[in-house]
Amino acid sequence: MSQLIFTADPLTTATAGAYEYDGKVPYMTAQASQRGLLPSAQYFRLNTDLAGTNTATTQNAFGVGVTLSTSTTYAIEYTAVFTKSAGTTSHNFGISFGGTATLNNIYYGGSWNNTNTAFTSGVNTGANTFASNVTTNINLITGSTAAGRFIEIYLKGTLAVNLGGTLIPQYTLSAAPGGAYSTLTGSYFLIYPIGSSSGNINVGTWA
Amino acid sequence: MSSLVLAADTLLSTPTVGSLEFDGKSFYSTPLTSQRGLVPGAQYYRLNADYAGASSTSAQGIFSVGTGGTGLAVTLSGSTIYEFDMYLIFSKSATATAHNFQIGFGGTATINNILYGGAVNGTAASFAAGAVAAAQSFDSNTATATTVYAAAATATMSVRTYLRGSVSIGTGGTFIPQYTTSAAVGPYSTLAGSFMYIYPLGTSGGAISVGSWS
Repeated sequence: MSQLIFTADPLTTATAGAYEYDGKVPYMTAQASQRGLLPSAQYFRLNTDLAGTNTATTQNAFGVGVTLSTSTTYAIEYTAVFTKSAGTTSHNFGISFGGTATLNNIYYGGSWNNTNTAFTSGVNTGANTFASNVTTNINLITGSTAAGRFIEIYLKGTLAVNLGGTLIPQYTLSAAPGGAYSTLTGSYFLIYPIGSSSGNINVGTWA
Repeated sequence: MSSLVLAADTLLSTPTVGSLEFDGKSFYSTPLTSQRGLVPGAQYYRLNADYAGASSTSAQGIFSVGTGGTGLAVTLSGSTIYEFDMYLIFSKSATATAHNFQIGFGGTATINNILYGGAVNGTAASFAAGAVAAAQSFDSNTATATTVYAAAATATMSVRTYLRGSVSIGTGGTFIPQYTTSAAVGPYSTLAGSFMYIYPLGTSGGAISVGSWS
C-alpha cells in the first residue's frame, strides 16, 4: 500500500494517535486532546533562476500561481532572493499578491534586506521589517539607482479566501530599471490550508 | 474512513521508508532511507478580526481574555518539548506616554527552559502596510515579560514581532501568550491575521534529535 485515502468527516473528540481529515485540513492528535493541524503544503521551488522583464510592470515572482479553495484560510511562507546586475534608472521595488481568488482578509510580514550589489552569499547588516494587511503592492525599496541590487525577503502570513481562484506572488517595478531582476534558484513558496474562512482559526486546546 | 488512530509504540529501531509512526508524543514519517522526520501537528490560533486589549499595566492575553481572564491559553502536556511560531502585529491610537512593550508567557504549565526570538520593529504610527527600516533582533530565555520595543510618547504606535522558539514543559498545564505595557496606554489591539502555532517535538530532559543527526 502506497497511499491512504480518507473521506471527509466532521471532527469529534480528539483522540491521541488519531489522524483525521475534515474536508479542509488533515489533523493529528499527538497528545491527549491536543489536536494539531498538519501542514499539507502546496509547494513551489525554483530550480533555475527566473528572469523577469525590464519593464515598469507587476511581474510574477515565481512564474506560477497556485489555486485556492473557496471559504478557506491558508498559511503562507516564502523565502525569495531577487537580483539584478544592470540598469541605473531610479525605481521602486515592491511586493504584492495577484490572482483571481477574492480574500476576506490577509496579514503577512517578515524581514527583508538589500544591497547595491548583485547577489553574493554572506551576512548583510541593516535588516528591515515589513508587514501588510492588503494584497496590493507595498514598496520595500524606493529610488534604487544602483546597477547591482539584491533583495532578500523572508515572509510568513495567513489569508482567508472568500471565492476560490488563483493566488500569484508578485513584485512590481515602478520604472524599467535598465536591467531585469531575476528570482534566484532555491527561492520557494509554500501554502497550506488551516481551516474555514468564517472565523478565528482555533485548532487544539486554545481557550 | 475519515480517521486513522495509531496506538503509541516505541519507534522502529530502524526507520522504514514510507512509514508513519506515533510514539505517544509526536508523529513521524520517513520519506527517505534512515531519514525519519517529525510531523508537526500544530495547535493553531489565528485572529479573524482585530482584538482590542485593555489600557492597563497588567499582563494581558494577546488573542483574547481567555477562559481564566489572563489570556487565551493552549494546554500543553507534561515532560514535553514544544516548538512555537508567532507573527503578531499590535497597534494603538491613544495615550501619548512612553512605555516599554513586553512579551511573555503565563499559564499553569511549569517550564524547564525556553528560548525564543526573532525580528521586532515599531513605528510611532498606527499600523499601515509597508516596510519599516531599522529592525531589531530580540531573544529571550525566560517566560517573564521582556521588553521587545521601547515605545516613544506618541498616541499612535504599532509594534511588529516575528518570533520563533521552543519551550520545555515540566508539569503540563496552560501556556498563555501575553503582552504587558509598562504604562497604561492605548489600548493596543492585536490585528486580524496575527497567529501562533505550537507543536510537540519530543520528551523533555534532553536534546531533541530526530532523523540522521550524528
